[in-house]
Amino acid sequence: MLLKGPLDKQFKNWGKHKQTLPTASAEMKERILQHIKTPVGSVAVVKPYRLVWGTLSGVLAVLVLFVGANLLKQKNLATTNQQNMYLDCAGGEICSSDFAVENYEAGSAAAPMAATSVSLKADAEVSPSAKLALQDVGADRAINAMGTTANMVEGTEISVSDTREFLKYTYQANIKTRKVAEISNRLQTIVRGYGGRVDIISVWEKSGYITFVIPKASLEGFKNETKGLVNARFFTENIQAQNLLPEKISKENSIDAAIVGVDSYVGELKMLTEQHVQSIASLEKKRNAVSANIYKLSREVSTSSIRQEQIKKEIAGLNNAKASWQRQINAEHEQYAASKSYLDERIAMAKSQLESSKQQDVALQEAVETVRGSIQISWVSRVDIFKAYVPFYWILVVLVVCSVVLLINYFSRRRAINIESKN
Amino acid sequence: MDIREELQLVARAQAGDKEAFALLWDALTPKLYGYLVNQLRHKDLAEDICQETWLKAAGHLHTFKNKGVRFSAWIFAIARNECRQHWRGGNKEVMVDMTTEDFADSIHSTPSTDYLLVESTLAKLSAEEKEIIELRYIADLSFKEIASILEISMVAARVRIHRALSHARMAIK
Repeated sequence: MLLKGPLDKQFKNWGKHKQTLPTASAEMKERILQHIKTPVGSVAVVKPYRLVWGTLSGVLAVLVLFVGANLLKQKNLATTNQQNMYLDCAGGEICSSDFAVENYEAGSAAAPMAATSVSLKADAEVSPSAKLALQDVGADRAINAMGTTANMVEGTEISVSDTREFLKYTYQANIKTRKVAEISNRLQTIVRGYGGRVDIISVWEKSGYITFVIPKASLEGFKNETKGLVNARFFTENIQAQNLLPEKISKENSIDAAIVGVDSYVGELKMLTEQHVQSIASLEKKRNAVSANIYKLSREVSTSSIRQEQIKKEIAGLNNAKASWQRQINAEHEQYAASKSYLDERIAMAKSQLESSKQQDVALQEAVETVRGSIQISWVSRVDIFKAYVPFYWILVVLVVCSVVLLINYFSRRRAINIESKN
Repeated sequence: MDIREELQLVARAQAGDKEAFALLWDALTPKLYGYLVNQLRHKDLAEDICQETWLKAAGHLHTFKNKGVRFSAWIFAIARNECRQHWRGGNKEVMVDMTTEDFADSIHSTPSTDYLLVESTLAKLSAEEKEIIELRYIADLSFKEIASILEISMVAARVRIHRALSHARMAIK
């Protein structure tokens, strides 16, 4: 004979059947209730342990959650602030214009060339002034080189095989301190100590700002020393690096183009000179031949008046021819002088452009070796200092409040209702 | 009655509230008496021990502290000790086999076939197995409370109940 349904259910039903009251339940109850006494003094109150443990568990969960969130937030901030960002300068426009502006402001001879370079890059073709400057048969190669330069800088990616790096660093830091003036002075000393130069200083009672430049080789030492001025909690730094490879390639191409230009003009001048010499030689030969004829005729002695008359006419004609040849010789000299002057001028300009390109290249190298920086100094209050050391202080406040509430609840339940013994 | 209500009644009773204690009596006595009747197999004796249990509980109510165990478990622990003391006093021979009709004297109707089958099945189990089943299904105690009464671990209590039910299942077959 099997039980109907699961065994556990059957036993439960059986158990319920077993629950019963005694026969004299009421009398028994009365007798027992008479033994209930009101204790004198305080009574140990049963604490709602479940509530306490539940509250503490909830508070602990909140604590873990927000501590974890704060730690994660601080970690992300640290990564962002101290991350070195490398900006790809392949497009070239921004960093090109920045570099061109720097060179222009430096007042160097490269300024007009920099402007020319910028216009080239903006238009992607040779500007009229540049074309005029290079307007010669032999200068085609230079024009092509400049065109190539424009193509390379604007929109074209640098070849991946060119792994050269010309990183220009920019340094920025934020310092929080209660001694703004002192830290500002120390920073200036540090900058100068590392061979740098302070460009801008602004110091007020509760804030300061310093811009400076330092050699790239001193950057690590400068960073470490600056970090040591204040606690890490009150110091953030941001370092950016820009690869000026496109600029470098542009400068190299400019130098190559300028060299080609100079060589071209020098070659033209040489050719011009050779041609002139040949022309002069030819013309002088013809003039000398005429002169010889004139001499020959003038040396002829004749008694015949008719012959003398012929001789006079021939000498006059030869003199005219000689004068013509002389005029041609003079014209050739003049033309040569003018052409030579023009080519000399072009050569001088091309050499000047070459020199300017070389100077720009040197300036680029110097820019890469120089780090521009700025440091912001802010005054910090005691409250902010506390918050920095205890970022999740408000959780402590919540815990304290919860603890106070629990204690008040506990002690209020422990307070005994003093009932005087009736007996 | 859940543990929160029970603890509130106990707290009030400890403060001298007889009404609260009466409510505890009403809630626990059917289970307690049913357990004692099944243990002692003697109704009058069960009444006596039930009264003694409640008297002791009332007299030592101020010593009860909620440390994870319910008041009902505490009562049953007192009752169990009273039964042991009675048996140690050499009174086992007072026990009389009670008939099924005696057991049927409850608030419920005539015992069903299942009820009788369970009764006969339990008769085939050991005393320890019967006790643990009574604590589980008559006293309606949790595994944790049974463990505290029997002074064993909660896992051991679960295992014992499982074994008892397995034996009961085999006995039925």
